[in-house]
Amino acid sequence: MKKIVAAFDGLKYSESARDFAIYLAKQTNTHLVGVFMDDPTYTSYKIYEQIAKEGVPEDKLKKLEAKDKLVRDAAAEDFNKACRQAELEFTIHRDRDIAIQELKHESIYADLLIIDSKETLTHYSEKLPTRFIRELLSDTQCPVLIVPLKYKPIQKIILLYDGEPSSVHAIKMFSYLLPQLKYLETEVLSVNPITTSLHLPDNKLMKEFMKRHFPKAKYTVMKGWAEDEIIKNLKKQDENALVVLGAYRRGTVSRLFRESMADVLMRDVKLPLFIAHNK
Amino acid sequence: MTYGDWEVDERSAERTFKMEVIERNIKILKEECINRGVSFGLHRDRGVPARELIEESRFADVLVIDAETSFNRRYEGTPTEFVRDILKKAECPVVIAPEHSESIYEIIFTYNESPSSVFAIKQFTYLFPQFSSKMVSIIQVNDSGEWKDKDKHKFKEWLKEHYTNLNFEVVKGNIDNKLFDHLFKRKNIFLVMGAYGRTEVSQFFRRSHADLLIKTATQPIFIAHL
Repeated sequence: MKKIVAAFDGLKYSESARDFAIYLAKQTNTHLVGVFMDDPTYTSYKIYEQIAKEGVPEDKLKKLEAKDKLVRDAAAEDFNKACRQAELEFTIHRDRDIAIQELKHESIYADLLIIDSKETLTHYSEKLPTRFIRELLSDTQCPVLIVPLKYKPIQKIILLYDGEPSSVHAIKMFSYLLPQLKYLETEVLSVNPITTSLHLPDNKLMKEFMKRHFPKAKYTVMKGWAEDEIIKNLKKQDENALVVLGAYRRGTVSRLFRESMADVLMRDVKLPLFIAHNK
Repeated sequence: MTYGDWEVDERSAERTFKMEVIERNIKILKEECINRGVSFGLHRDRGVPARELIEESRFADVLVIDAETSFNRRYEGTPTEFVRDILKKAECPVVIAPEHSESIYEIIFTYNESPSSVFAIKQFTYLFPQFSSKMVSIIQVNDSGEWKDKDKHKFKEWLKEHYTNLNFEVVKGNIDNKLFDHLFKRKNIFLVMGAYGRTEVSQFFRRSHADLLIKTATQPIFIAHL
């Protein structure tokens, strides 16, 4: 049995992350851990605004604090109830430290981390991908499942493959962690540069590997710009697919010049993304 | 500097002998697989060995290698330059196979609270779930001889999902020598280490060769690093 961590901002509780987490935990018979990032430096109110308006009103701050606590408690309680209803084995962690550091730390001791793509852990709303998610992805110690705003059951698996080590690593991790989803229709999606052929990169080795892990997978090879072609293809999919990709290696200079595929997908496609990186 | 084209003298006695040995060994491997009912495939890679092997490792779940593998005639000690290179660059976990295989009674995880020591443990667990009921010892080495770990709760939460028989051990002393003194006494173990072990792995092999043959003969080592 594995350990899936679902991370929540108690002040902006994500029901979609809850539903995806419960769905996956149920399918895979997994121990689910709900991590509530009760970061004390992050509140629903803007502390400087309060101070500027009325000096330092001790009681008012206390009231606001109490209100936040209630909201956070309600979120944890809802998670508790939902897990009970689904008859899952589960635990709740309420982390009272700087959220990003705590979450990276939790990821060391987790098999999979589930989080909503809109999570910011600030009171601003940000464009996707948010800074919080970007930082998490660049330094997480286990694969991450980024879920969209709305929950829909997964009907298909799409594996993005470009011959790079990180894309194969992601496919391996998905195969190890969620073998129970292998009954779903699986498609391998590759995009080759325009000047090359339509062969799968490292065709023979890849097929030999895939035969053992996803024997029924279909292969689609396209030509063009990877980002454009993949977005086009994913938008055409009728089923609600889960997309597996490797991304976000630390210290890659190219990230300065080119957005990561994961960034583009988070912004343009509303599908759950399974992201794993190596090294 | 220019390179001339080399032509292989296909009739030389040396080459005939080399090809015979290769064919014989391949035949042995095939027969062993068939006898034990293991499905198998053979790749005959003709390129630069290290480069080919790293590419193969990208599409493999685990790579098993002998610590003395070398494409050098000279004796190099263990692990060879080749194996060190593979350990550093492989894209899947590597198992260093012992001279003789024996049954495994105990799994040893070396742990120092670092992400990479846990990474190796996770990879091992995903690849060999059938060891879940074996005795598992988590070993930490430090100066105080007390289990120092603020993450024990979280780590245990994870471990308990995967293993039933857990045993935490602390070894007092210096990582460089104490861990291996401690481990050399054990038999029938499967040792798992991460980048935590990167320097320690070489430490492990730096002992005299005689020591190595006697003491590590029964211990396979699983290495995965970030």
